[in-house]
Amino acid sequence: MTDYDPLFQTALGEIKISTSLENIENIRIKYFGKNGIINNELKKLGNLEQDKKKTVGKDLNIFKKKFFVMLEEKKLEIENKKINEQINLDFQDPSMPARKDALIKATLHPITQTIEEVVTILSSLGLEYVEGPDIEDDFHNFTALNIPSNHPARQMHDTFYLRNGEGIQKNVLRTHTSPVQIRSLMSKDLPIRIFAPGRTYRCDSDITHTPMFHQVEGLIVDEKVNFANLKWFLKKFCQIFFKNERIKFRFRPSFFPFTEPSAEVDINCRFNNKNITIGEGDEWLEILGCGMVHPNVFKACKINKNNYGAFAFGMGIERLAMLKYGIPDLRNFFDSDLGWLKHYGFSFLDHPDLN
Amino acid sequence: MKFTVKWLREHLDFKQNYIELVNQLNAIGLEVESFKNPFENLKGFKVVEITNFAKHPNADKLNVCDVSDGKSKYQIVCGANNVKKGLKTVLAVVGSYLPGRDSNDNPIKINKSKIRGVESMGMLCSESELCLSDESDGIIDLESYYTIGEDFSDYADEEKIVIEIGITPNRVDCAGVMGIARDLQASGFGKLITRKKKKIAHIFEAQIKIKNLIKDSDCPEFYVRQINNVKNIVSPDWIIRRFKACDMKVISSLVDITNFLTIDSCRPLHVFDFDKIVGNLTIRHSKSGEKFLGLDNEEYVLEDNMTVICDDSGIISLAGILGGLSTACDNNTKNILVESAFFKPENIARTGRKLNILSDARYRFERGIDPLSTRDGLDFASAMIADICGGEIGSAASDGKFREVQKTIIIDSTFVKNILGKRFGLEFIKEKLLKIGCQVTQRNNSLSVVPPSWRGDITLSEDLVEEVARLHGYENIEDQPIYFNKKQKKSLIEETQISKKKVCRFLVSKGLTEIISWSFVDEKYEKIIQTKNPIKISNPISEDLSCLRSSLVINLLLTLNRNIKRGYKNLNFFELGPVFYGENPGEQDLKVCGVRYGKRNEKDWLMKSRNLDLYDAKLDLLEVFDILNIKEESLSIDQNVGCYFHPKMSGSFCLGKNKIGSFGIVHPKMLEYFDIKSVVSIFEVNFSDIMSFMKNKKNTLKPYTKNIFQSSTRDFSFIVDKQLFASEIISAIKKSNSKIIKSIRVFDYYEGSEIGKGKKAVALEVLLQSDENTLSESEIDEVSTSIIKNVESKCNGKLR
Repeated sequence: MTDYDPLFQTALGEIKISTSLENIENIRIKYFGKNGIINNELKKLGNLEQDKKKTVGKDLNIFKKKFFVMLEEKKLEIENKKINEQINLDFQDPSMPARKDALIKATLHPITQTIEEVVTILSSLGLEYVEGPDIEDDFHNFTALNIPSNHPARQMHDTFYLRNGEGIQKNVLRTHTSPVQIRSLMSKDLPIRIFAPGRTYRCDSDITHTPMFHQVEGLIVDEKVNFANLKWFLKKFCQIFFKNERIKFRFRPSFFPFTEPSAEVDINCRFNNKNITIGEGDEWLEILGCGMVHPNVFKACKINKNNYGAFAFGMGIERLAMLKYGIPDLRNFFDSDLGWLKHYGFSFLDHPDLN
Repeated sequence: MKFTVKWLREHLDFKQNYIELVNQLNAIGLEVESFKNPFENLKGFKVVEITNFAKHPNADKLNVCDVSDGKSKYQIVCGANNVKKGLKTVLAVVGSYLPGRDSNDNPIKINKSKIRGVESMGMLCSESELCLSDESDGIIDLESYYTIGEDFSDYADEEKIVIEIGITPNRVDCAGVMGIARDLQASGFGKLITRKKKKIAHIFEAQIKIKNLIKDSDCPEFYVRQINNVKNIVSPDWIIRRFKACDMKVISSLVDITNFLTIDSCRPLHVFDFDKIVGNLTIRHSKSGEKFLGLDNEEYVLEDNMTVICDDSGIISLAGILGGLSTACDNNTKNILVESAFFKPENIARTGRKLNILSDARYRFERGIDPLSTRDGLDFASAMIADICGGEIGSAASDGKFREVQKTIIIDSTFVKNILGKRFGLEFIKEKLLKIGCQVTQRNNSLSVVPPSWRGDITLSEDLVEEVARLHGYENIEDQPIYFNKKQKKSLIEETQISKKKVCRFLVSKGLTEIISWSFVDEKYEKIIQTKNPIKISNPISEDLSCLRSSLVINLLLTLNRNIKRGYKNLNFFELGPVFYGENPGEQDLKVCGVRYGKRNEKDWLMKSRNLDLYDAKLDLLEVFDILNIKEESLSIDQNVGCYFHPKMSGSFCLGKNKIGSFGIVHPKMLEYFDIKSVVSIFEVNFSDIMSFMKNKKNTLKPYTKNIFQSSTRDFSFIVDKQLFASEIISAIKKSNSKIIKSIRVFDYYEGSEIGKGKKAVALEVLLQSDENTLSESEIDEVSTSIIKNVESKCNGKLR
């Protein structure tokens, strides 16, 4: 006990009962301001004798620490109280709608998404992404692909012809992406490893055909490439694309003028109430055409392939999209109905990956 | 091509079941498009006999039958009119399901029932009720060899089991049931039943003379045989049943026989009514302008060099494609001339395509039938006609003889291995090739191969490789991995291709939905947007898809129109795709176009509703530019926009001389045309131009330097002519001191009487910062003065 105790108690009591920051400041000035009570006592310390000075000084300094700690605590308490009172006055209804501008949901077309998936997979397998024109001449679309003018295979393609300025039919809308093979063969050095997605056109319109559709073409010309490699490559592609390693495959002999041997590839599936499950069941679905590049194609491009082997393949993008995403009707793809686009379209964040 | 299993069995003896047959056809490249076996669904249907019957007591048209399956007896009420005692027929017992469906697409179950008071324990079936034919008269009347009590499905009538296969253009040898059988045998499936050649003993000498003028070119071989006193009656039952199953038209026995041999042996033939032929026959090339009246009653105007068959009156047949009406057989036909010939594929293909005639004969001739089948075909047809229609056979007359060109192809194991990736022994290869009818001789380590006459498609060693692979089975060639890990000269995906993806995804993130629309538009729309030479398609699918589009805007406005009609109020779409400016390869540009429609913030509690304007479009466009790394500062702006833009509420950006993008609102006339009632904002980017710019751009960045000196801002407001672009003020300011002026931003705009008519006030914030020191007040004042002076002199602007 010292003589100061009652004073100390009074000061701390005043802090305790104070209710405003102003109050607090006044208390600080009263005790520790320039002429504050305690401050004055501290000034007087110098006049005291050594022993007294030590004990009184210690008491005063301990009190000073305690005083300011308490003062700060009180200050914080008053500030918090003030904020809480303000918060309780505020109110905004969180169930009201958000600001709309930022929330327009839009989608990417499933064809674009599917092409990007194909691009991701084929480039990861080492193929280069190339493109060709929609308008083609007879040479690139047919002749160089070993489809001479009177060949019945031309009937497989219901070709759109264009009229030039003089009204003469000369060029065509490409009936397949295969002419990009020719353009690559004629412009690139061997080895060639390319794929080419894009628009294709055929003069046909019914429940399973649209006059415009999309294909992706692949061509690999490399040392010692063979049919066994082709089988492996296309299986790999389908397994990654459908994210299913257990897909069963059926390679059927077929005919394309620009490949020999040629094959069509089926994958297994199950039909269930108009739904298709890929990689299960024992129905077969045709998914692509392929083969070893026909020697006449090299001849037309004036290429001596020597030791090189070559295979090519082509797929319909719409078909891939329909099978992978269960889209039932081909014709809706180009109908631009917002409801359909929202339903089957993709978010901008759905970047294709290899998982 | 459709055929029945019974038809196939006439050419092939096989024990395997139907599933194995279908699998084998697929495995050898004869794709099974459909397999229909109506007996599949008839398990449990019984062969029964009607042991007795009596009139239904309460119904005139019904009978109450006692039916026996040998063990049990059933009472069945039946309405058929062919009910009789001892009739063998088919019973659907209680609890079974009929193969078809009712009108509501539900299965039909046979229940125990009372029909007008009499109990019925099942149903006696007609063919149509069992889906065995389209229509039928009464219940099935089974032949005597059916055993009572046995399962009806055990007696599958294979004439009703139909296989349809797709034939690739190279495999015309399989456009006949016989060829299919031959190919199945070659693959080790079944044994071919070879038809005996018909020996024909003629009983009179034909008088007709044949002059084949083109035996050295398009008609190497031509035969006819006269048959007198035939009766062109209705075809025998087996032909009718077979044709019906295969969806072939039944016409008359003479025509049916030729059609039968076309499908049976891939041997198209023609029968003339001999009495309608005037004089002798000439086979020649047509001359341009000649006319021909076909069996189909169509008149065809011919071009030069089409192969025709003429009598002394003129053209009576379009060789290998279509017979003529003037010599067609009818019910009264008595004497006939059967034609069997070999026509060259190219000529038939050209003629068929030019005249646009599709026929079974054309299909086969243009793909190349077996050239050695001519004489046998003639004789087989003659014998068949004599069998069915009677008559006296005359001698054969001909002009021209096909001489086989022996083409020899060399193949060895290494060649096969290089293509297939699997090594086969020479013996193995030889065996496979012998099976498909090749002549094979072995010389050292290679084989000399002559393909059979019916395989005109085999001309190269590669073709033989396919045969080996096909007969071995593609499935049996083991996969081999392939990895391409050699160094790439360049990246596999170009920067420009990545940019396309970025732009699409960015626009989607901005609320625009991607569409993909036709590359075609209606010509009338091309005219509206003032395309000088619309690129017309010769054979459009319809009028509204008659031209190649020169712009993306039409399809986007059509899309808005359609979706507005569907009731949508806010629409935001874009397309990235090709537009065309010429009819040659490469005369196309890649463009992006986006449109927005509808009030912004309509009925919103937070934001004021407003119309779209060109600044919405400008934002979209500039953000796309930003994605493409094109800075606004590097562009110039003008008002030279396409005619579908509002000419006064729009702008274009140029990069150097290239106009790379436009923005604005759509021209009111266009909106009226497409029946769109409110403002549409639109932007358009020419991707092709930007891509060529991007290709030249370097990707490396300058090193980062941090400017540590304090920056200051100063605001200015200038009064200028209303027509003056704000961009002019900005460039005038920039020129005052481009080193210190780091950025200029317009933040306010004012028009009003206060500043005079035809004037506007533009307020700008200028950011000043030196790279060398913190700017002093006097330095800042100096720049400010210079800014004001520059805007005064260059823009006639006054500080407000």
